Amino acid sequence: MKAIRLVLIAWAVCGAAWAQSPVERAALLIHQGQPEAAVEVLTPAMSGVHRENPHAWCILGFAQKARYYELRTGEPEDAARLASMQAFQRCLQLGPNSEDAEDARSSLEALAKSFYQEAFARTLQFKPGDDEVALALMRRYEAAWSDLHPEADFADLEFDLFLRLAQANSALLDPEVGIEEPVRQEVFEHVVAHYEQAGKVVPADDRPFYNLAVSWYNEGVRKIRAINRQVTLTELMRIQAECVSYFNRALGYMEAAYALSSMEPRNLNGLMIIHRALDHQEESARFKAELEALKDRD
Amino acid sequence: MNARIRALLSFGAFALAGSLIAGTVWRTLEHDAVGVQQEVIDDLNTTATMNSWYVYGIAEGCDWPESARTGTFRIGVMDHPELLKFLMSNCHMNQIGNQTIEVSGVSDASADAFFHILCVGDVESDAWKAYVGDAPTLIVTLNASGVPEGAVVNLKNVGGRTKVMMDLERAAKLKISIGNELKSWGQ
Repeated sequence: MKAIRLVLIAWAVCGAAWAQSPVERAALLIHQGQPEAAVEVLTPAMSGVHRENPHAWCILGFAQKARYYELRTGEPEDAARLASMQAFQRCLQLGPNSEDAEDARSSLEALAKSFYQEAFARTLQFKPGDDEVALALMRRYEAAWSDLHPEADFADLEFDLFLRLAQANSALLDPEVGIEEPVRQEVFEHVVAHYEQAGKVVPADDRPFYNLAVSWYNEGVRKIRAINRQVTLTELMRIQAECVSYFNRALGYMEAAYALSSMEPRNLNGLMIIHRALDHQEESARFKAELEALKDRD
Repeated sequence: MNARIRALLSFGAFALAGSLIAGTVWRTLEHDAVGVQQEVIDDLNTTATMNSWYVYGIAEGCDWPESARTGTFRIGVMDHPELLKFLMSNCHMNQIGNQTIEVSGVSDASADAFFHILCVGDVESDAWKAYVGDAPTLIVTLNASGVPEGAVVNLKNVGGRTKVMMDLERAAKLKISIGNELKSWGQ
């Protein structure tokens, strides 16, 4: 009798388990923290009986999303994240119920934002050459977000990212970082390129122009700071000529920043210093007076 | 409770923690570049720094008469505290030939001291003229209009570039030999 009861219980348990569809089993596996296994269970079913099942695609989306959160490669081509997005998009195309539609949409939004968050994170722990990855992440974000919000405008976020990328590169130029010359030159070119891009995205903001001016100016000053007693008079003159070309370039950008924001103390201070370096004494004195007048007013 | 709801609930807890962190970052970033720092302009006085290297180049590029080749190599600076500062940091206590460079500020009261090079910040002041004599003091001025009488070298800044102007006759009179490199840049 006891044996018969055990057989019955075993049949009930196994039967229930076998009765579960791949979708339900996958949901259970996700719940148990096994998204990889959930994907394995679901994948064959998605090209067969569940191919047109929006709920199944939604569960697959969750399984891939969990894999993405587990691995978090930070790469724009992260396979789990892209697979998750494709699954949620497929779910929405198939006319899901309202609950699945809401889940799919909010997951797609979260995954889209993750691209920008990772682009931002790249600027915080930046290495030479990370620019391309950060920009690719940004492009992914824009594409994904536009799908959900076709009217979206990315100018402010792009502006912010370009400024951050420029400054992440600029931080690498610090002599204490000690990057070697060919790489250093590339990094400086990235600084300039990112500020120029920021200036194109939001041309009415003076900050990219100010930062471009300071970047060029400081690059010239860096060459002067590197002079030592081994430098001959001829080299001294060559360095000075090179610096003057940098300072003139800086002046153009600082004047552009001043044209956009003439009451900004940093622009006045910048013009005072650059004119001083170019021996434009009257102009330097004029901007110094403007700066002091501004400070007195405050 | 079916498996899907359980799965979603479990996700809910996971996603809540994640979104609290991510949401905080997102809120800080969204449409807000205020947190981005600006570049800091290097406030180095580039003209004074360059002049200090030119003065060092002049010291290296000239030969003084035998009588001035012993003891310390003295560079005096009059009426130009910025140039003094950079000469102190770039040249002071370094060797030139077998002589140690000593840089100091010069006041009117010390007119009887000997300097190999005397840098004059203000040519309008008469104080430096007390050093114009037979002693082999190479007077360097920073004058916009040329080499004033009694000086040997003038460093004229034109749009950030230094033009070296020289009075070779005065140098010859003081028996200071100007090297070829310096001569080639002199006007």
